Amino acid sequence: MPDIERELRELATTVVVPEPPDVRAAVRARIETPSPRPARPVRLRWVAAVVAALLAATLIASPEARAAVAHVFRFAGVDVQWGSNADDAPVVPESPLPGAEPTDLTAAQAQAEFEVSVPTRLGDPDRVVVADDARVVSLLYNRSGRPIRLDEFDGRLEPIFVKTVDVMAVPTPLKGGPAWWLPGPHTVRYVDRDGVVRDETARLAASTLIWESDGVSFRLEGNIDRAEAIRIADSLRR
Amino acid sequence: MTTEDAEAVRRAQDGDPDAYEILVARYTAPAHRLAYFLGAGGDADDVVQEAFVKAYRALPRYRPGAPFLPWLLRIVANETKNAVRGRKRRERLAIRALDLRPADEPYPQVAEAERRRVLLESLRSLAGKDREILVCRYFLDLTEAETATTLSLPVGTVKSRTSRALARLRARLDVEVLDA
Repeated sequence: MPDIERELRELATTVVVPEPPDVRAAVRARIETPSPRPARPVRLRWVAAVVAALLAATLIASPEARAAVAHVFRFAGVDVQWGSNADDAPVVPESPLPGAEPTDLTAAQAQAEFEVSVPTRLGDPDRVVVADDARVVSLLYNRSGRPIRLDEFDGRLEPIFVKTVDVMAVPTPLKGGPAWWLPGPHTVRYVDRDGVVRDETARLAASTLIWESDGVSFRLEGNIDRAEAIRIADSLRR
Repeated sequence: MTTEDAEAVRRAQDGDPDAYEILVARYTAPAHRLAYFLGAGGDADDVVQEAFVKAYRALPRYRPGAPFLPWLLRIVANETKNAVRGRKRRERLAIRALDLRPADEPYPQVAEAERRRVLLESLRSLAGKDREILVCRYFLDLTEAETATTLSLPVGTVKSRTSRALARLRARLDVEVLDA
């Protein structure tokens, strides 16, 4: 049987590709102009403004909290907003994540642009939900009556989740890098692909561990203690 | 990376636009090819231009000695996602990009042409993430490590997905051969 790799290379020579452009002059003109930033699309500007406003409203806490906010803000898509106004967030009754639909693990792995990971400590999830054009994948478990939820989302984009918490985040080292433990309930805000901020208050009112790995951000939530959360996080397999 | 690349990158880092233009001329074709196959569609030219400008501005963060092409292609891949919003839209354009040139010869080898058509169909039917890897490996002739850098994936993932996707293509071709 002919070697399939060789066949693919031959196929490449028979596939139509448009002529490449000559971008030398255009690139040169742009790199020689000192004003670097092209106008950003309106939508992104708006998202940035929302995030900036939320952050500005939070920089009232102690220096440690400010440091933590800055740290978490750079932390691959998750923002933590400090303060005790978790109850002020407007409640949106419908599904908080846009386009959330139940699916299974294989389909979610095929749809998502990032590598979906499964914690071996929990095994295969009982339910899987994808949302926002598979930008977010949620693995849902029910372990002897204890619901556990692991959200995985494309952390390379704009900040996606904004949390309002009235507790301090506890730096929590994992095997693969830093994480933050947020004890206690919080409001979750999600900025969807269209730049719309959605509030979610009806999630598991429980503690959360957030971390980032290889461009994917994780949010583990459930009625579990910090030690168990660390064990679950450390057991992630792609 | 060739020593000419290393030299051009070093001079470009020092702010020499002539040196950077050498890199632009040398790598426009693979950058454009990648953008096109990842679903940039009619935006492929703009993606290439934008990627070269962004790469230039990112040169201070470029690690000397690292291969230039995969580093550039990673920027191209990200820029394609920025330019064409929506995974499904890119997916459609990426599939449409896989199209055969009409046969040059008046009497093409029929069996061979048919086999090529089936292979292309199978490639189009793969999951997007698998197809992207095969495009990098066989349409752009990148190594596994270069593919991993380009698509921001671990090398192990590139290896396992490549062999899985190739197995799928083989299975499809075998079925067609039996049916024939």
